[in-house]
Amino acid sequence: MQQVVIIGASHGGAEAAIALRTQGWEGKILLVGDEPTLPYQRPPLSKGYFHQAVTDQQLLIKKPSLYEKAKVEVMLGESVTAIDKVNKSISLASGLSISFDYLIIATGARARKLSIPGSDLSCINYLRTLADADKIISQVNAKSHLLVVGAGYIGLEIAASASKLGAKVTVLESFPRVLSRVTNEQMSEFYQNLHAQHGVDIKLNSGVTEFRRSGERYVAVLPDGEELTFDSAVIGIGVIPNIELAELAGLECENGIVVDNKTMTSEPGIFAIGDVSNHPNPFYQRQIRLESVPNAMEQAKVAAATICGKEKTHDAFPWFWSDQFDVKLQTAGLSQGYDSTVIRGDIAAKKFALFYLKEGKVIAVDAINSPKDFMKAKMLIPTGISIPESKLADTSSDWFE
Amino acid sequence: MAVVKYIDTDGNVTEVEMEAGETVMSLAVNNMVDGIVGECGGAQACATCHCYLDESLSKYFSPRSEMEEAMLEAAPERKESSRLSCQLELNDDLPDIEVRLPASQY
Repeated sequence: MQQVVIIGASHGGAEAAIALRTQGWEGKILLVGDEPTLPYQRPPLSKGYFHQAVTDQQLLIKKPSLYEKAKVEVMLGESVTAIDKVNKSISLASGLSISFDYLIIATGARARKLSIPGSDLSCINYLRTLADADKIISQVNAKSHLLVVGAGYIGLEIAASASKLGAKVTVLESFPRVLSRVTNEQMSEFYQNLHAQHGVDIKLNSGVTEFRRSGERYVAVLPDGEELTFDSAVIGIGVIPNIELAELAGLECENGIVVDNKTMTSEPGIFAIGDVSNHPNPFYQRQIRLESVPNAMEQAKVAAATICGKEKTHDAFPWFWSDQFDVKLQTAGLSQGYDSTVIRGDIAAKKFALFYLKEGKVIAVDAINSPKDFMKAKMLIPTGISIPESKLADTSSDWFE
Repeated sequence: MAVVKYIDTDGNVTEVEMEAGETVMSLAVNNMVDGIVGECGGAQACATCHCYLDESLSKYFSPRSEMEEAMLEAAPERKESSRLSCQLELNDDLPDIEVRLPASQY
């Protein structure tokens, strides 16, 4: 019997396993993950799970019984050590070798590590896994001081969640504004104000040069020499795609594993999906690598369909969301390369959309508590829309009519 | 045990036994019901679990929140009876529930 092996049991891997069955794959399906738990949702780890609105049972992407029902064999707590593309097999750390007819690599990404004196202290955390989240949460309470290094989405979501739990929170960011890689200045300022209103202290143009123990607590040394006493820290300074297995196997890699619009790697029969894949995007007309659940799910379906001999290409439009305090951000598209922006709505009322344009064309939207603008943008931007800036800004009529 | 009946636009019915603690969305995802996607896992961020719930059944569920209302407003094939199925929570006291699915979630 033919077998599809999936390396990586998270959003992409779980979706691919089930999608293979629903698309009609009749052979074996093996899902291998290095964590001890069944695939679970990662986005709530910094949000609902962190401030205890979501339980660990609710975190599961699929219920345990579904894997049985779909006849998916799940191997947990197993690391894959090598891919042999010639003999079509993978090796496990436990010494086992497993052959495949098709392979899906869904190894995701790992947190980028900070390397300074004291960064290996037990109070220094990274958030990627459920175990990471549990450790961080156990160190945060109403009497503790949490230090967050890096003001990206993960860092800011953790800051918001910890602050909800009553902790004192300080965020250190090396750039002059938060979210500098993904938003414009106005959006950065909006989030800086939002956090300030909730008592989160964000230090810009800052960072940390050293951590050290100080009695029961810890001290962070800032670049200007200031010393901050804290109880635990979370570092959120980006991720690195887990390409090592693919690279060793000789698959083409560049900022991820390079795939085509069928999610196929440079080796026929081997696919890569999710955060680890560097894939073509038809709208932006370039190769991109996304850190995104919807993208992983969509690519999983494309890989499954392709393996089942069906015609399906990956052309989904990128989108993201972030929940912080009472603010829901929904982003459609990638803003990189914009040459102008338009605000629609009321920033002070925390209800507005920020349109990013390039040469008159809308390329992305950040919607703050404005789901309708987000939904319309997600549908319309991929079709190529040029809308006068005055119309985008005019809230007395719909911009998409 | 009560069931949820998922009816697609061709009239095909998938019947799934209800489980307390699940939502109409998660029940579909966990039973391979085609037509409900649930990309965001229930965070009301994507509207890919859009369904139609008959008015007569709406009393069994919490009304639409402002966020759900706003998401649905721009969902494809919006109708009066539109709901996000991730917001329809199941419990042991419910009768059989029937939801209709849109032709597409995108």
